Amino acid sequence: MKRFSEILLTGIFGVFLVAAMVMTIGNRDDVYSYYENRLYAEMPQISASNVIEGDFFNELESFLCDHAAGRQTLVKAKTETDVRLLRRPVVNDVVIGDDVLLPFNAFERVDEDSVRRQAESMAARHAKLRDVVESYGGTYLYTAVPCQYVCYEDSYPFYLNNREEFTDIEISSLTESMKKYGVSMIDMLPVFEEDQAAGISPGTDGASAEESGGAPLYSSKVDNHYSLQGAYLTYGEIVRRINETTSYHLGYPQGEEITFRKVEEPYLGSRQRKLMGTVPMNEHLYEAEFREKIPFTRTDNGIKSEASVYSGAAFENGSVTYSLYMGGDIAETVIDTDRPQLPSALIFGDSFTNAVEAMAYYSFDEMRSVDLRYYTEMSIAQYIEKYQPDIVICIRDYESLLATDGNGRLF
Amino acid sequence: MVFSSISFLTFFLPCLLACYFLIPSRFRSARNGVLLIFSLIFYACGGPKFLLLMLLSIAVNYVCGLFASSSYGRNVRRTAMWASVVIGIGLLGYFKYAGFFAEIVNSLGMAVPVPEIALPVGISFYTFQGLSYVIDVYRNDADVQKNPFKIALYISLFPQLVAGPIVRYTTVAEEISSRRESLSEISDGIVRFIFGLAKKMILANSMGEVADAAFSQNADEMSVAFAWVGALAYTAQIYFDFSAYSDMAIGLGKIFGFHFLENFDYPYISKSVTEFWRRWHISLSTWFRDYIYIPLGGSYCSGKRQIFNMFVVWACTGMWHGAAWNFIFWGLWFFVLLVGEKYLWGNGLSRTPAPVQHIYALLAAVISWVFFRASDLPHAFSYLAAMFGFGDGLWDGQAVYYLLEYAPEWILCIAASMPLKVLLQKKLENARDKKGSGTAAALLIWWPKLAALFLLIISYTELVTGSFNPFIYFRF
Repeated sequence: MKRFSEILLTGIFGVFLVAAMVMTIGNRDDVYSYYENRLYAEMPQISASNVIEGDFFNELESFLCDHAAGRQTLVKAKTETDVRLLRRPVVNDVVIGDDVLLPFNAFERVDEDSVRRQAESMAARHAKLRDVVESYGGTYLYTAVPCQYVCYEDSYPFYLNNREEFTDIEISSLTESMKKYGVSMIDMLPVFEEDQAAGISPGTDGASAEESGGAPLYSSKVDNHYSLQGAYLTYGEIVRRINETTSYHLGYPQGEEITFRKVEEPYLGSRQRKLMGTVPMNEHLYEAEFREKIPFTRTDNGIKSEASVYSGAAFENGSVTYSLYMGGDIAETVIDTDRPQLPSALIFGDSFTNAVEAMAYYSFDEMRSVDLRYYTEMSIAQYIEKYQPDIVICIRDYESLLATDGNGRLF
Repeated sequence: MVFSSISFLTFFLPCLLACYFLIPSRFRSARNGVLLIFSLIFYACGGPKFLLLMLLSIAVNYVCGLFASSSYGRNVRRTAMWASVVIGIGLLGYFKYAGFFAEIVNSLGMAVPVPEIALPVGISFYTFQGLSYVIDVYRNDADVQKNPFKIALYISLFPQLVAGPIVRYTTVAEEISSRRESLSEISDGIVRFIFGLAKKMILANSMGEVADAAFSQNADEMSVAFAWVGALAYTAQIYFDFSAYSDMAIGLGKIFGFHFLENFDYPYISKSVTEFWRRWHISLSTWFRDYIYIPLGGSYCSGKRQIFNMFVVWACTGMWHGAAWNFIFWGLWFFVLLVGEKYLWGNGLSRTPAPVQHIYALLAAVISWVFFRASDLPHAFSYLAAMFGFGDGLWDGQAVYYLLEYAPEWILCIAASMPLKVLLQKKLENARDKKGSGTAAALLIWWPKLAALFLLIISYTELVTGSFNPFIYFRF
């Protein structure tokens, strides 16, 4: 029996090594990991210098790790084990809550003075941008929207960082500084909370405020972004503020003018995606349909595209992602409704702008959208000077209110 | 290249095994040739520029070994031995300590440029192996090896090349020339290798993440609980990381017919620091004992001289681990404890209850690892201050998180630090031998192998899913 066990072990080990080698070589053509939302490492180019320095072998290891036999299956199995068997509180940087998947926030020590200084500096920069817009008679509006960890602060276990302290200082100091510099600013968190308290808007699953059991209706449980309901409230508040503070009378679809159609395919939020789709949740995306169809043309990065604000490319593996709205993050999109009697607009910001833009073209003649994380041709200030949109709207989520890179890089 | 990598596990190892075992065992030189070539490739994968340095070290030790043998006169032999020591330590000194010494000179007010020299992987290990060969030949403890390829194979043998254990020439001299690979040994080697791989992938890497989080934080802002969690995590990481490498080296050695000596023997169950060092990095402590402590006079001299000898050994041990004050302090910390145990509190300690002795030894180790892991000496002291209440509060969320998040690994670390496997093995052997239990006999045969296969899958999964994979002892 001993000898048999030795033969068996040695044989299995040998077969494992050879099979892993052969299958890894066979996997070399895979280029993209859907669940990780990233490109796999490429086979390194061999050169005398990178071989001598040892870099080639390090890069080769990254390539082999990404293309290792059974990787996708094993990553999924490991995630499933961590979530269900080992019940780790945080898996793949996702906090596994009761009925909600949240981001893991690094532990931090909040330096109040530093946050206030950053807020002051950011407000000054927006004031400068506002001056650029107003120099040709335009209107500038800054909108802060809560991201998921803000909406679900109370859902974090006591020992994890829900960023409550940071958020409180950040938003209060930014609001104060914006006021000081006279920059028109909307904070959507109180708007969302008032709406929910009043029981006005339904949630992502059509649930009422009462049915939701107090869970935020305007934010996704499985993704960093708001629901379409949250985006709709944001759009409405922006229109209301513009109509209140300018001579524009922008139209805004309400009541029977707009219907929200549930997308049947299950929503695969970014948190679920990080968990390799192993934690299904009953959440759906919605599409807004206007009673009065608004014809438009669409241009992405200077190239004419399909005239739609909902992307079919967002459907994959039987589910749909947030990139349903506007087709995800694109450097520059122009939607032209050819209604010259209406003002033109520029909306810039991260992906939180996408769901708003999917409805906001209703109110404008030409709606431009720029994402400075990808748009590199010129600064946003130069862009504004070049196109002189009547209304410029900046939408930033709470996590990036003070960030000076990406869409915080204004000049 | 490291053992816990896809390139090693699924490319290097199967290719080597195929090339090696396709050659009939009667062609020993050819098999050795394959091992040597693969060992050089293994080393070259970390950066071929340092391969020349290792080849130089091999050449020096080979030539010095020839002249240190009994065929030559006393003066020639002594000169050859000292030449090997001076060149070996000189190279080690240049590559490892030049920057450190330049900084010391600068701190004394003299302006000298601080050279930025990359540390060749494994230089501390292969230098000590080479020296042990020449010194053993000089002392007539080993026969001179006239075949340069055999010396090259001894020094560059890939299982122990970059992170030990430090294999003495006398341990493998005979096996280099004539050894017999057997299915039983190959099977045992595979089990040992996989257990080592699992220790590294499952325990050491997880604890490393906790330790990295703790030691990267400003110590003044740490709670007592988190500082302890971090220190204990590093205590676990360094043991499971380093002993894992030794396990893999011993296992791989067995596959190819070599028998390396054990390097660890459950050090955290020690009851004193003296015992701890009998169980921790055995190949290094015995190297210093045999090549420094005993030549200095060892214990057969006056008390003062003994203390001096111990001071030299522990200062060298600290220096060997790294060119920084915190490593020297780490060595001296053990010097103080060992002298204390020998002359002051050793007898008293042995009369205290066993749990007290265990706590004392473990505490000494945990504190020592803070010096070892800290970025510098001030960091070590501020970290220790946080552990003893001079940080920020008693506990915080981080401590709770790192305990809960890694709860399975913490439990496994505690279990794997104790000789449970040995106890279970003994129990099964007793049942088999005395009671004739068939179940026990079957378990003895099957459980290590089945456990190894299970651990292989887990380790491979960890390997392909994680990128956090550095070996601590690569630094030395």
